[in-house]
Amino acid sequence: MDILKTIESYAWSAPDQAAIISDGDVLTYRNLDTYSTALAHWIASNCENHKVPIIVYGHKEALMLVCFLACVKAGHAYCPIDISVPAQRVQKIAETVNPPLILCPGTNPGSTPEEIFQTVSPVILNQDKIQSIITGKSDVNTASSSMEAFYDHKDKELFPVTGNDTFYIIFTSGSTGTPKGVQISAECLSNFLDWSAGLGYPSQEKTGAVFLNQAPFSFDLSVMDLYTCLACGGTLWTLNKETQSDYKWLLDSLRKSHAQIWVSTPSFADMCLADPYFCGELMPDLRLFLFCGETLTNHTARQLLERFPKGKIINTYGPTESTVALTEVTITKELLDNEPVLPVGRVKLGSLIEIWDEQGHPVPEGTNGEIVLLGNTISTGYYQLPEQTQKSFFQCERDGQTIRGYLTGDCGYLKGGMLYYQGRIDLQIKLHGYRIELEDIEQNIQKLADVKNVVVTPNIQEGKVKSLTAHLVYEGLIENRLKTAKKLKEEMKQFLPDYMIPKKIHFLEQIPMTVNGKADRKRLGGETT
Amino acid sequence: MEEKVLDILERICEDDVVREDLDMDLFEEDLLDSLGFAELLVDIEEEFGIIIPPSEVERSDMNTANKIIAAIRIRS
Repeated sequence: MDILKTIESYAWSAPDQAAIISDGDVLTYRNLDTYSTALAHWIASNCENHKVPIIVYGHKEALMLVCFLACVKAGHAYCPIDISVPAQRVQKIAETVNPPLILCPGTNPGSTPEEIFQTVSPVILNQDKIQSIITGKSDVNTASSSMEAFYDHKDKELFPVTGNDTFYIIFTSGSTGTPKGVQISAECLSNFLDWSAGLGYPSQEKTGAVFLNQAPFSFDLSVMDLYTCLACGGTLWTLNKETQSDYKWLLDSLRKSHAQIWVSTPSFADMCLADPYFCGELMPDLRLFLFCGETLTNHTARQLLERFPKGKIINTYGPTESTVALTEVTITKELLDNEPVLPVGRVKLGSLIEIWDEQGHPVPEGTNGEIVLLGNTISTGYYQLPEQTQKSFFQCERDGQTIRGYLTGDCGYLKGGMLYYQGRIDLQIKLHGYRIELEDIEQNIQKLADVKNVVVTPNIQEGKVKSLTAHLVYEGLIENRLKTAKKLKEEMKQFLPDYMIPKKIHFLEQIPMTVNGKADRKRLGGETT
Repeated sequence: MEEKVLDILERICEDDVVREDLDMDLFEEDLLDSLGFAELLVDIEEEFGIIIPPSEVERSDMNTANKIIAAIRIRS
């Protein structure tokens, strides 16, 4: 499915249908299409460097969508960064991407975009400038300074991203302490949408349906709601950071949403389930729950089925490198009774799953090993990281066709074509849906003054990572454990997003070592749980 | 009842420091976040059969061990 053509067709067939409602701000399909085309023309005539990625920095503003589509219509990949990412990390990403242009459609509290992006000094378009470009009142230092000049551009042809061109780049935690950018091509997204649009019930029945957006756009779970919604001609209802922080606002927003399709992490559903008002009466239109990003527990699924008797629950699995997800399974009452640990599903059409042993040989069914993904939604690799790309990605022949493959580092097994996930092989973990390399946190904590050594371990309850502990060899003064821990956590905020900051700080004299001289993570983990 | 509440808090906050000062602001000290708070209310329901809808209480009404204990007491 060509998503740009699809949106354009909705702009003709259902121009007044809302594409997104964000904080009461409504953007119709017609406006989404014309605004993004207008901005694309501006980009095309101002960024000569074709195909270089553009950063879009903001939160859940309706204009974010206009910016995303404008980039790809002008032939550039976009890289979304949420405002919750700390400035230091944003700078690292910006230095890696080195974009000619940064679009900032939001209103930023705190630092201005100019301050945050000062090290790369690209052209920055803020909300006002974007507004004036899309409404044709542009007077920003460009060739298209007048209305006529602007409309002249409209006759010029745009060359949108296509085929193997990168559509978006999403940055995930990297073990070196620097995030790595996963490149998803137009073709991968198109193949993903061919599948996701039909999840749960036929895509035709989703026309005009409201999709719920929980995840920030820099988290690839949001692709599941955002683009599946646009592919179906639906309306995206966003829950912003503020709304999610308060139960009253959250329940109020859920009630007003009339959402038919729910997309979130299981952790977010757990949070909602704590309130008894979260049920079928609050959201009578809800038909489908789509989960991705972390383990869906039997307990959570069971509670949801009880509260939402009309709802259908689908569990999915996939790393960012395979375009959001590529397996699906409907969680029924029977499945809940038979499977204490829920499977993550069967692979979609166009993809393959194999389980490999340590030597890279496929193992027989039922045996566990590394989950290897192959097929038409595998990323083209990490942005400008050939070494890391070569380590995890490969090409191979299957059924006479050359296809891309990706070594996930996830452990699991297949039973009758059904995939079961068993955790990570390495030091990557999932916390509330966020993928985190423990070494990434450690590298960043090492930057703090008086920190001599640090090891971060996950705290696991019922097979799920609940929180993180940082085991610190600290040379500073510890007058009060809690106060010092709080001070250190505050300092970590310069380098790490909130979700990566360990909940607990455990001070110790030295890090215990294994016989091989490595940090004894098992023993540290055992000490705290 | 108090002891059970502290047990729950110790497990959720993953720190026995919650027992040291029952007037300590658990959110302020980073011991509780919104997910932890949700978990706390679920545990209170399971342990005492008391339902406290988070949308009906202000966080500032339940941010210390003592306030949580009082909130349960009023409802039981």
